[in-house]
Amino acid sequence: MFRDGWAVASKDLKIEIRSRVLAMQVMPLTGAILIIFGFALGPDIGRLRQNASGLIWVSILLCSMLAVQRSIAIERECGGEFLKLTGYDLAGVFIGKVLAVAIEVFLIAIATIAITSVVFNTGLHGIMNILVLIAVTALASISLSSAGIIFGAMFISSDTAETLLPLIYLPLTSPVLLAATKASLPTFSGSGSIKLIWVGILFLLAVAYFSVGSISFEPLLEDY
Amino acid sequence: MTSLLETENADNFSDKDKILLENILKKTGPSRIKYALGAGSIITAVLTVWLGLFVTPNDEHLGDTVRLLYVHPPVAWAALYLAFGTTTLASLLWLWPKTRSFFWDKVAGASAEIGVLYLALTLITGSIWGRTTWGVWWTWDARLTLTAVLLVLYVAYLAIRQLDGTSKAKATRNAITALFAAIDVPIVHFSVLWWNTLHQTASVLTPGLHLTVPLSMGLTMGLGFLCTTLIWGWMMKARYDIELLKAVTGEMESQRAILQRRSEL
Repeated sequence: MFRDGWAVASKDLKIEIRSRVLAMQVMPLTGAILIIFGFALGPDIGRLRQNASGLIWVSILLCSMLAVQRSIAIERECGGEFLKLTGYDLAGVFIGKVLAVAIEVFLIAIATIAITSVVFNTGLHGIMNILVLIAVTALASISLSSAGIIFGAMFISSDTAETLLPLIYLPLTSPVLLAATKASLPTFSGSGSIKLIWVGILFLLAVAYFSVGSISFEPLLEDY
Repeated sequence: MTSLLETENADNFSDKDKILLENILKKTGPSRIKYALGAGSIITAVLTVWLGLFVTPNDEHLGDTVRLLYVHPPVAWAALYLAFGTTTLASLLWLWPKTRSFFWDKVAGASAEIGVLYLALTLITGSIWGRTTWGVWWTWDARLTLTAVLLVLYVAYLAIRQLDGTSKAKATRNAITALFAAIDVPIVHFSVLWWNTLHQTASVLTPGLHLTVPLSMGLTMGLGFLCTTLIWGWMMKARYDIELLKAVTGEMESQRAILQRRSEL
């Protein structure tokens, strides 16, 4: 199962590296979103720093949806069968797809944080806070990719996938957005201390989304 | 309901279909359980209104606003735990191979619809409470925001239920969406503990089951809970029957279309 998962993840990541869509389109988009937020909020650097955590995670959330759509587009081009005919274990396929998207979301998050530190002049405060931020980003990436892959697969052949995916994906992942924002607030603002309860909530959310996704993926593909 | 076979639509059905439809109409028509749930709902609603408006005292600080307690927590309970809990359980029973039956999909859909209605009422009554106690119709409080998110999630679930596909694919899709949506329910429940919220924590009944309000208020609130539960049951039965009729007539229409197409070839 894990070997199949790694094979699927490697395939998706290799396609992504060759197509360069993530690097050339999605990552610049996260910069564009942050600059638009900056325009909307005005030049007050104090206010930008105060809101940086929320803005970063909104940008990551929006861009993660594009990463999910890219991952599903790869399968759609191959007939939307999700490698069913290759004999791969479906649980492994799910793990692989989630892993690939989670790595992409993690990279998007790093790019977003780097851009923010420049345009909002935020910086990162405290080694412990940075370590917590890495854990928060990893956990949020797993939650976002687990939910995204399931609903991307669900709407793979639907004419209204472009509207349905955001309709369910954005509200569904908003608890991740709230918890990640709270958990990384001290790292970006430099004030206050990290409350580990938010990391705990993110961990529970990652477990819940991944577990529900794991039990759902096989029946979803079998009944289609 | 029985008038369906006496209208111009009657020509659309074969004799075999008419017998099947008659049986379904008998099953879904007036029944003792429907009358009992309906009567119970009306009686408890009238009693709650009477006790809530005319018998129970007003609050020293909140005045008459406190009477919203007889409506707001019962509709919130019925939405979050009763309706969405039933949807989640029924969805799990569809996904579990040993219990898989289209009955569970219909139950999940019916309960989610009622849940959405109750949750909208929760937000409306909460908003009225907010206006009188906090001075605003809406505030970006964690409990309120997450409840609004939950409403959008279940509206999305109802939208997904309308998508095309085979019955089996649709039911699986519905069940998976319901399971994901259910993750938000405990977050809404614990939000008052995790965030610094304006919304109060549970305060009428302590964890040790000690009532903190006068008995008449506690009883009226309890009656409110019973009322919303009975109304949920009443609407569930009605909504399930409609789903059943829709499924049967839909299947008949499909069969008729296939036979007509075959006869044309």
